[in-house]
Amino acid sequence: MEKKTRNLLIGLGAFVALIVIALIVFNMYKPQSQPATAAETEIAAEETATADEQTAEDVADDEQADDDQNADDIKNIVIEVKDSEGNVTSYEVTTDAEFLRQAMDEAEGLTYDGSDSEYGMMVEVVNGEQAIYSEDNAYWAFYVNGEYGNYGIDSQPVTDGDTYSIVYEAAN
Amino acid sequence: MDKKFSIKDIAYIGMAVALIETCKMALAFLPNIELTSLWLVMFTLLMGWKALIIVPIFVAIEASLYGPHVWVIMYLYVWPLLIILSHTFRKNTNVLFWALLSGFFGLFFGALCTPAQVIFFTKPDTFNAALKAGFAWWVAGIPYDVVHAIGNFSIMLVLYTPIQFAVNKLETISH
Repeated sequence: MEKKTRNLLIGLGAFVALIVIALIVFNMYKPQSQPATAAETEIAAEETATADEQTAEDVADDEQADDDQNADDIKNIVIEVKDSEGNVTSYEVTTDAEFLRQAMDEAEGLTYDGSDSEYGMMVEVVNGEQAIYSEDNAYWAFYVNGEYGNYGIDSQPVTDGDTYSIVYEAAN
Repeated sequence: MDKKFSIKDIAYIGMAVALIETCKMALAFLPNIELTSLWLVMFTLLMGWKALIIVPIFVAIEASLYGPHVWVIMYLYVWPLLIILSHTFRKNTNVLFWALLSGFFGLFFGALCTPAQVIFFTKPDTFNAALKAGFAWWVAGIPYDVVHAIGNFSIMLVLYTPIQFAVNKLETISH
């Protein structure tokens, strides 16, 4: 076989191989709707434990709720704040809030502030501690029962028995 | 080849930009199937280094149509790279070679654009985060890179010979 033709065929093989490799890389690292880094998984594990304890209470609550039809809109939730030093403060909130923001307003002792964006409020300060990504290289992450939250506080629905965690996370 | 731009060169540049824009719009409904690579290769083979001037003109038109953004920076170094490669291998006349060159270029298009993406979105002290975001950005685009690669390869394979024929004819007539 002529050398040139052989080189071109090798090139063609490399081309196909690279396409396959690219697709494998894509499958390994493709974007996921709920990204979980090691740190997040740790928190998720911690919070699953909390959530399990809660489920027991939950069942009890539900039975109570069945007895009391008026309690339809009343939700018992827990809001946890984990600051930069890892200290966790819990707030038990009984609320009829539809979204998390109202429940946060009702939580006694919890303060927060932020800036408004097209997705609702972007939380920047919680209990006096600031985490602005561009300034502090850290942010306030939201978890629902240990799962990474998909909504901002203005659109995160509040469900009876859920635990909402607000966690100070430093970017790597 | 003369270093100055002749009237013929200016006419070629006009033709090139018009062809690239028209084909781009006509094929806009197919993501990443484009004739820009083909035309840039063909005009490089016809005009040599002078084909480099096509890129900023075509980018200026694109930017005025779609609004400038980080892709303007990407285009301004990624497309000239194709012209440099084509000019380096200008003596090659094998269809498969050009199809492969065009295909590889399509496959690496996303990877070639990533540095600009990283640099553009990096902030002091967050270079690592920008690097990670850049990697994620490249990975998310891999399926489009693959489509681009296969598209470029097939288009060049089919169109190289007829267009080279037309270009050669153009050269003979214009002399």
